[in-house]
Amino acid sequence: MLPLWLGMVPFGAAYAVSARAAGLSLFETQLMSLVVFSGGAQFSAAGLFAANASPFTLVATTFLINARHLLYGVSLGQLMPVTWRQRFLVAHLLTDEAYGVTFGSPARSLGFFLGAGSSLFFIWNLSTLVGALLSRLVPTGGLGHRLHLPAGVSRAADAAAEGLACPYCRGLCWTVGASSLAGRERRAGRPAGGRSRAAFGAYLTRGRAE
Amino acid sequence: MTIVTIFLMALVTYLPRLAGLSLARLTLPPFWTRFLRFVPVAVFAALIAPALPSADETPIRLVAAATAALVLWRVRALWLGLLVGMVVFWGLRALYNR
Repeated sequence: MLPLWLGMVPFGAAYAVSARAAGLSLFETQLMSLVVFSGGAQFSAAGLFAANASPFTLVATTFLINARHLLYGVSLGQLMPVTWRQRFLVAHLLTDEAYGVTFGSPARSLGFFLGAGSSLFFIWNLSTLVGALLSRLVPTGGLGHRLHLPAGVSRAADAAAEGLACPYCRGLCWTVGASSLAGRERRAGRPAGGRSRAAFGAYLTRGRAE
Repeated sequence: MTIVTIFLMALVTYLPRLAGLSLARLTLPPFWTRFLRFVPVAVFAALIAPALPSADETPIRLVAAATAALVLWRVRALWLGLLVGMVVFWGLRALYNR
């Protein structure tokens, strides 16, 4: 879990910086992390707010981006028993990361999911708050320059602050998740293992082709 | 208005999450059980793929992602895969931009 928490901090902070830059208040920036709690959708929302998109566009885009959670829910419900009441909490904590690590964990229990989900929720909101506050302290210019970091780190921080590198950071988290899942399938000796690796290889090839 | 939009965004995010969990109570035929086993691999691959191509640094990203995947495959330690991937990514980037 630790690498996922650490990976989330720059991503959450970068979301907050871009949301603040898009004109959202500190409260609105934080509110989105609390009630929407979906990194990809929040990032795109920050971009759409900056472009003065209509509320309809924002809501429809969010819906399309997050429709995949339907599959996570069905899949998760098959892995573990979730009572009628518990699912209201489970639903709010359901993210790519929480689903991924639970699917990849040996136990695949509700306890594991709730631990993973709530800790990710906490880190996500904390890093949002830090990013939102930091963006106020750094009105213009690069974040890295302001903090007197070495040139390389400074560029990295700038890129992160602009949210350019962060989708990649997250993509990498997912790469890692997918390959560990593929490995897990293989260890279990299921026929699915070969196909998981094939799917994993297929996306790499696809990335190379483009 | 912004706050209303945010709450509507929350609603359209929460409902699919809840609907999936509610559907899970059904007993599914074997075909769908097998189908669901591929959800993680399919969705995660779809999430990763768009992050790999970029205007100016596609090779760097591919090398970093491939290294991370290789480390993960051999070592099976999440933190090490992330660390190696990020070090390779930032290292190549620093070399490239110098």
